Amino acid sequence: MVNKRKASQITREGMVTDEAFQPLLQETYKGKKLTDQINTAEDKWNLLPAFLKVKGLVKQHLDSFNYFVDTDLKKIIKANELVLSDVDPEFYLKYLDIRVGHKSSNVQSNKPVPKEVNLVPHHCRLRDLTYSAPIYVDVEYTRGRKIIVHRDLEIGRMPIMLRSNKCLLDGIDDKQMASYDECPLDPGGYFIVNGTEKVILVQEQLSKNRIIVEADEKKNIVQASVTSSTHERKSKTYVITKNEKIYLKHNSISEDIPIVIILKAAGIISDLEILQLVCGDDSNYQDLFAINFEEAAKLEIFTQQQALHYVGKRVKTIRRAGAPKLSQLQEGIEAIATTIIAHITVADLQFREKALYIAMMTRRVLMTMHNPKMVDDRDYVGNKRLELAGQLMSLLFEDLFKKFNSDFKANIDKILKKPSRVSEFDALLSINIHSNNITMGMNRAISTGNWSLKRFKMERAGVTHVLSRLSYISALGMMTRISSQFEKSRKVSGPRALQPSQFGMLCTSDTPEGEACGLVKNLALMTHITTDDEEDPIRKLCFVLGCEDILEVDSATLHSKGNFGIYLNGTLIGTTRFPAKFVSDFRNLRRTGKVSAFISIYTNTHQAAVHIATDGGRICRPLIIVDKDNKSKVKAKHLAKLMQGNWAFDDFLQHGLVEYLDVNEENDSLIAIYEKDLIDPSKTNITHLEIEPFTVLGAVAGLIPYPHHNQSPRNTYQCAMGKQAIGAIAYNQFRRIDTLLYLMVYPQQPMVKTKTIELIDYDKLPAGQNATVAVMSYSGYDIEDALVLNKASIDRGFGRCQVLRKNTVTLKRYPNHSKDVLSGIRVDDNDHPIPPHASLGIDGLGEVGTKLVNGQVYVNKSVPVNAGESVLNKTEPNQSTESMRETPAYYKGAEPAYVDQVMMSVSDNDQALIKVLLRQTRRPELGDKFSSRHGQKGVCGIIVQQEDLPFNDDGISPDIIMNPHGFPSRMTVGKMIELISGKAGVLNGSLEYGTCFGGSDLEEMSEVLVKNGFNYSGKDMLYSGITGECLQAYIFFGPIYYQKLKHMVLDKMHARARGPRAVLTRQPTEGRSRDGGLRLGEMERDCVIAYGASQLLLERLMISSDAFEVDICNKCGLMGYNTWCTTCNSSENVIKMTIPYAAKLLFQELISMNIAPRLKLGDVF
Amino acid sequence: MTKEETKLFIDEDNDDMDVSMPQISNINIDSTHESMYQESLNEQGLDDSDTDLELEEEDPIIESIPLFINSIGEEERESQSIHLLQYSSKPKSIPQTINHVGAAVKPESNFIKVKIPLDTNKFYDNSKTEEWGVAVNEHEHMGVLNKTNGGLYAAKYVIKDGEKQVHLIPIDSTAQLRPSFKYLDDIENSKMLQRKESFDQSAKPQSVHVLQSTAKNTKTSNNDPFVSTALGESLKHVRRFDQEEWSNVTWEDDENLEKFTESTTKLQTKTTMDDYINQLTH
Repeated sequence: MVNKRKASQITREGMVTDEAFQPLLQETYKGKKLTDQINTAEDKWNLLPAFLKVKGLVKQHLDSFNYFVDTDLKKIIKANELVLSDVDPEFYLKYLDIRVGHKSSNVQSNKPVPKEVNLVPHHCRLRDLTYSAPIYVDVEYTRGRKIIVHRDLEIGRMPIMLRSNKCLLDGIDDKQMASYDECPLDPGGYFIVNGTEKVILVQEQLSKNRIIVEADEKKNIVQASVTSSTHERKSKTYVITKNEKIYLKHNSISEDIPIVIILKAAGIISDLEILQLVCGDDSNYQDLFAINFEEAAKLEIFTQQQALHYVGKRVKTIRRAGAPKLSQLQEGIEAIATTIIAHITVADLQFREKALYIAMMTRRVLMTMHNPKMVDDRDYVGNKRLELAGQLMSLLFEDLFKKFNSDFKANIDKILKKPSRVSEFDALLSINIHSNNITMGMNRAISTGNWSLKRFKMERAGVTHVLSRLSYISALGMMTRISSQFEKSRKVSGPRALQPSQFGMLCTSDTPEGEACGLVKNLALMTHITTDDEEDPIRKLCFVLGCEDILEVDSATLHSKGNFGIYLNGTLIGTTRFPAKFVSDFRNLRRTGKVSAFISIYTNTHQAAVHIATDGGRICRPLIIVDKDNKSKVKAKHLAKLMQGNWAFDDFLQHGLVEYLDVNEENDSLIAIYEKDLIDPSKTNITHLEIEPFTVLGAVAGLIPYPHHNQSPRNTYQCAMGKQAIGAIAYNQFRRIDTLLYLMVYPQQPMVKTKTIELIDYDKLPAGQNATVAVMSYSGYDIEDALVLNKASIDRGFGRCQVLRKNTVTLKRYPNHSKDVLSGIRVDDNDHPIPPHASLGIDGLGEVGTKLVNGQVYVNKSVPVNAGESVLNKTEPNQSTESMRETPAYYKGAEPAYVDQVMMSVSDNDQALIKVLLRQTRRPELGDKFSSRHGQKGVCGIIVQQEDLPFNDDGISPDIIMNPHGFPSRMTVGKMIELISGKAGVLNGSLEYGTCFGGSDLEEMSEVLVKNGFNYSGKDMLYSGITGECLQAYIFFGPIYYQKLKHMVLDKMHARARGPRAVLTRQPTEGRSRDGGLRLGEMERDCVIAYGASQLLLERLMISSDAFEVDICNKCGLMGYNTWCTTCNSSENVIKMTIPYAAKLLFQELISMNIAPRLKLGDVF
Repeated sequence: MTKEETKLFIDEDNDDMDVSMPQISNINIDSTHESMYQESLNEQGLDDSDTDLELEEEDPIIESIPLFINSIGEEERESQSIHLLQYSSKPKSIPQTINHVGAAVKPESNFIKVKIPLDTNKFYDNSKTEEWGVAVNEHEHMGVLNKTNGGLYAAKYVIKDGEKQVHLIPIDSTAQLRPSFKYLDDIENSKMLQRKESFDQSAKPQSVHVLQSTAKNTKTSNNDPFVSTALGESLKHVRRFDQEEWSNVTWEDDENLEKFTESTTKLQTKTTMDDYINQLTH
């Protein structure tokens, strides 16, 4: 009990800044005295804040972007370093180095590198600019005979991810943050492009360069496929079965090639060796495989050359202009060497690695044919890779850079081709001409979200999204979101299902409902996504650790029993006979920090393989290492160091107490959830200990108190609703000018918190209020989850929110030198401003703080009348400049608004940019939507005077009355416990915890209630506010945290008697924004028909809609006009009648197609 | 290398997974051969680390035997190199010693060719000889020489003056030799040639046109940045391989390894375990 209390008092955790150091100097730190005993089982959770301190919630984005600008860019430059001329063989230009955001001269060893960005991020937001930094390259090129090295050549500007290491905000303290108008709690990880905040969502993909074996049992097909991905190309190679025979399939080969022929083409000529490589000495596999030899023998292919001819003949040649024509043999070699399984490179004509890879794929197919259980699971998280901002940017940049170079090459070729050049040609002069390409390309891709890569012929839309700033949590939720590449319409359940392997990696609760259910996921709290690591050192290390080089391993013994293959990123590099020792040696090296912590290694006994992964995009998470004696390696002394601030998370990593495991390696270990599980004598081979079990949930699901007591869908509903709650957005929320901003006027931190809430600083930027709730029925206006609100509470500010809306006006300049201007106020005879201009200042802009009602002007803009006129035929210059047309910006809205901010600035192209922020303050009204944190939403059904509401002994009346029918079917027990804990907290003066799998104990809470003279169950005796009598039942009564959701009646209410009509059809317009009509739809029409209310139907569908009087000639049946039939040239038989305008339109359209619709009219009566 | 020696590295008796029939051959190369041997501490440390790592486990030291590292003398280096040749298609049942008819290398392309007499007594189809018109009596084995980046040694265990010694000689490269059925290809190629000739004769006037069109083709240079106009890397290798001449080498068998076991300096490591691991991982 005592310990629990202490844990709960551990209050919010400081930031990475100097202020965070202050609590250390106090006598008590985080509720503990230095002399207090440390309980490892309880306090090991402190590793989590330590982890978040170094890793943060959006660290995956930042890591990825940092890797891209620091490492990946250099690799791209290296791969495309030379620009040569076709004309002049002497000429070359070589890229030596690339840097983003600083010049070479600015690098000094001891000083931090200055960051060269265009502006402070917030100014970019306000001024609709892109937050970017210059990209500098060092080049070496020839000018005449000389070789010139030019440093710091700017080739474009790179959008900078906020809080990345190139960002101004990296590593500064809160004070500086405030001086930049930036919120210290803002996670960063997004870009600012043209003033909008854009997030590149994490994309989920199947892992590259790995073999995936799948089986279709109905069709009796087994296939092994591998998606090869290199810088140059992406291609997929299949090894499939067809009628029990095995073939290799590839897009660039017109027909499936028998596997034996492919292997022969790859240099494994003898049938014996093929059998050895594919089957080993397993007679089952040999029997299954034998049939394949017959096919090759039938085709009389025995040698490599014959096989290459066979393959080359079937290669689909995409002949590109300029490429030399290849012979059949060359085509075959080219196919084997570069096209098939492209990620394995062939050097020195050493095809063995490639042959082994194909053989291995074949072997996997054979294994699956023999035992169908050997298939791989596509949905297994270990087979997935997450693509982050950095990787996507790198793909884009390489494409743009290649384009840049080829443009440059074309440019210099054009100049060099000229036979007589006056001066020496300087290549740099032409490199600057098109330097806008890279900048524009990056900007466009990020702002539209269309990733088009010419190299891979890839077009991907919807990669970026506007960062949702509805609330702090919605922005945070967006940063941890993972979108899948699967089509939403496909009706397969596999990809949507909850995978056991996502435990601890992806949040189990946070997924949207509906079509994207299970396809959009969220990261769990304590995850890390790897970036690419170098393969070569690892390969060398493997050889030292006793791996035998695959090139020296004999085919006959490759698959002998006890021989384990060692696979580095899916490619066989060697074998070992001692896999256990190899793996443990490797892990030891990793734990001592000699190898990167994010490299995973695990054994797969089914495949007799040791897999090592160094590639990027794997999800991993830290776990405490448990030693051989089942003791946690993290001891009290270590935690003491952590809590005193002497150790950070990385120290735990370096001392081998904690390590990162990815999903595959997790499968190779036994993880205890609690420290008490370690004592269990039946479990002897525990390898790891969970840091905190509540990290299975993500940031958004972490807000829910006692989620482990709720029915699981309720938690999922809350995850969706938590993002719609109105609250505080950021510390700089009043400086922001966003298109639409919702702010809560008096947000409160929840009284029942969770540890997650503290970790993600939700308590500093909350979205909701602690309402006193009575669970009872009242007034009948509370059916269907409707809530009864207390009017006095609303008066006191409960649920009050502000809505800020941005209105942008640009003052354009026109080619004829005229431009838009602001005109002043127009006044009436008494020198008073005319009513529409009442809130304008003399500058023609709305004055800050003034009220705007419907139809009033807030920017009085005027446009020149003849702006389109060209400069040339301008006859009267005076007239053209003076004649202006007023085009003021009106305020439109039923409720008045107030001018909150007016900003005037200059945008990119020298045009004045005016942003006017209009504010509305709203109090809750009937129909506004509220929700607790348990997926229990409801609208306000009635607002009741406080005196009519029930009250308890202390005279407290509820803020909200909730109908008890909300509980039985929803089974949100967590909400009840939240009420009890909250009530106990109020009585106790403490904030209670509802952390998942933990939190304040219900029994303890009940004790507190009893101690304070309340019923243990949280039920109180209430008195009716109307009669003053005691209510017949005890009422469940206490505080519950309620969120106000963004759906408000004011934004939705809509009615129309008459109003605007569409031009074409003369029917009422559609939609609230256009003051549209309310549609009597098809199904409603059916009802009216079925009921037989034909006059109603006539009225709804025609008279109230698009009734139109036409003149119809009863003789020819066509339409005339003015009682005159043009076809018959008479007015004899013309009859007036009313038809829908749409029908008239149809007739005319039919006539235009040479179809004559003739109406035959008859008398009804 | 005898079986006894293999045991030094892998302590399992029947462990012959490494190579089915390893044979160390010392080849005298006519042309100059790039020297790639360096007596770096790296390699010495390798053996050291292996033993050290094993020490951590319950793996007591039974006996320590001094190591001697040998190298081919600097002058001989020019013309000599040591290679490990693996005959991957030769079953164990065939005796180890192989009579070589000849060997040749293409040093630029790292390719080796070994000719072995074919046993025409057994499993030999004489009728094919007549059919093809070629008498095949020797077998070509070819393989790519994989440069070892150090760390691979031929070892010899000797008892000298009552002291047990292990002598190591670094190996330059390894190669897995595979039979190439060149005679089959030759037959096919000659057939193709004949066919082509007859075709060419019948369609001679057309060939002029072809020439013209190709000339046009090369002129239209493309601006597509994603296509390299030159031959692919692998085809360049093929071309280099085809252009390079075979250079014959003389052959010395592993009996002559005695010649190298002369070094008298005991190998002692200067690198510590930590240094070594740091070298590896950074």
